[in-house]
Amino acid sequence: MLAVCLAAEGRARAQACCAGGTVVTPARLALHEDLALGVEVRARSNVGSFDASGRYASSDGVEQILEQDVAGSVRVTRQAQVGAVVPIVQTHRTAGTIDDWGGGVGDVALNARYDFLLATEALYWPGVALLAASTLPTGTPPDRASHPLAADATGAGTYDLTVGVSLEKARGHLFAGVNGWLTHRFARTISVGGGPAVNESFSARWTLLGVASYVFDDEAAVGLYVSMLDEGPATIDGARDDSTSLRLTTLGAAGVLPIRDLWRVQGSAFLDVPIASFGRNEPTGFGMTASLVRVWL
Amino acid sequence: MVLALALDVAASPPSPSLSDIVLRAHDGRTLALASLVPERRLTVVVFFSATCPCFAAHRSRLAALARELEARGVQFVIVDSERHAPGEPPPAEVAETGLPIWRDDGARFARRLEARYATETFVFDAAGALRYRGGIDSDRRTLTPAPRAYLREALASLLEAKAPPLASAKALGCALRTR
Repeated sequence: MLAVCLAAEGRARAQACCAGGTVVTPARLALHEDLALGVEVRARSNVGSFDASGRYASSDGVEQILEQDVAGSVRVTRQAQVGAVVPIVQTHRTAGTIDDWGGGVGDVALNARYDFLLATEALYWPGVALLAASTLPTGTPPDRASHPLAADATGAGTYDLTVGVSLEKARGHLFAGVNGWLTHRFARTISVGGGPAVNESFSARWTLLGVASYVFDDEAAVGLYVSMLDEGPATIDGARDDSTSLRLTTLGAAGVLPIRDLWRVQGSAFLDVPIASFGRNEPTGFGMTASLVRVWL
Repeated sequence: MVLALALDVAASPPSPSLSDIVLRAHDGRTLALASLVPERRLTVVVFFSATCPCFAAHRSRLAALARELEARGVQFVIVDSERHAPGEPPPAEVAETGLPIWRDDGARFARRLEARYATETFVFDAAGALRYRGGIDSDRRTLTPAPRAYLREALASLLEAKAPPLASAKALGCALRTR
């Protein structure tokens, strides 16, 4: 009888207790973590772009972007956490005979998360969280860049506000999550090359992120994700411009390795899907990320 | 301010009523806490999860503590308040320890104590007063050589008729699947 009991408990599967949610968001606080500070390197090479109708074309030039982020999150209550990301963006572009390097501080991003129910707290119900974020225009927007290929542009040039919902479920070794965000980008006035000022306002932007991962007994995890971004046409000086809508679809693989409960190393590789209609008015490419995060319990 | 903090740390947490709490064993035996608690000097209630790596990591420490302090009048009650899927029978014993697991159907006891995490521990004296609540120690999943041994320190103080150094401490286990 005792042997049967011991075997039963021994067979019990470890659960995706605490690490599943950090596969694609390394600075997010997991259960019991009160503070996280990390650095992330994101390298990206753009090899083509989508036009306004969604047709993909490869590029003759070179565009490489290296982003180095400092990220932090702090727990405010048992269910709430807030965070910030400060990026340093460096860009290399070539076109014809022009070779342009530039960079600087990018747009600072703030984020918040409130977990109503954790992914492991209910047998059947998924974990539910409310997400919020904002981007501050601390970078240099393209219209204010001074380099010939605007390699010194590091930001979008406007504030934005985002609200979202996260649904996550952990069962045994498996973890799955879907996040949806709605972003409002505030209007901005741009003036290129000293020309007349133009007022630009934006349609709402939807972003969806789906992730599925496998969490090992030591809480290391590997996963796949897909993200989709879609934004309607912008309005230029009061006139809607149907050629300005945005879309981008990205596939990625990611992994996280916790080190003695206080550190985690995270990495990912991603690819923007270069298939017609999977993008619109966006550069496409591939890249990778690597992060090192220190957490405090 | 410092005095207020110190008093807060030393004060016992509010004691929940145990009078109607009955746990159930794998073989159908029942355990009424109201009659069990007065039998020993101290009763340690530890919330269990079969799937929590943090609990699994602490099994041997719990077993060692239970063996070491049994003769001094300390009893351990391991409680499973989690919901189990059909075909997922609740385990009867904590592996490698021989400690029986008592079912808390409907998570009634966990709700009474406001227990949220596996490894969360509650220490009652013989009068049923709650003297400590919190983690077993300061380790989560990775065991370190010299953690802050919250539970051991609390038990040692209480066995010497002193207040525990900390009346409550952070419990670092998995969220209990009680819904």
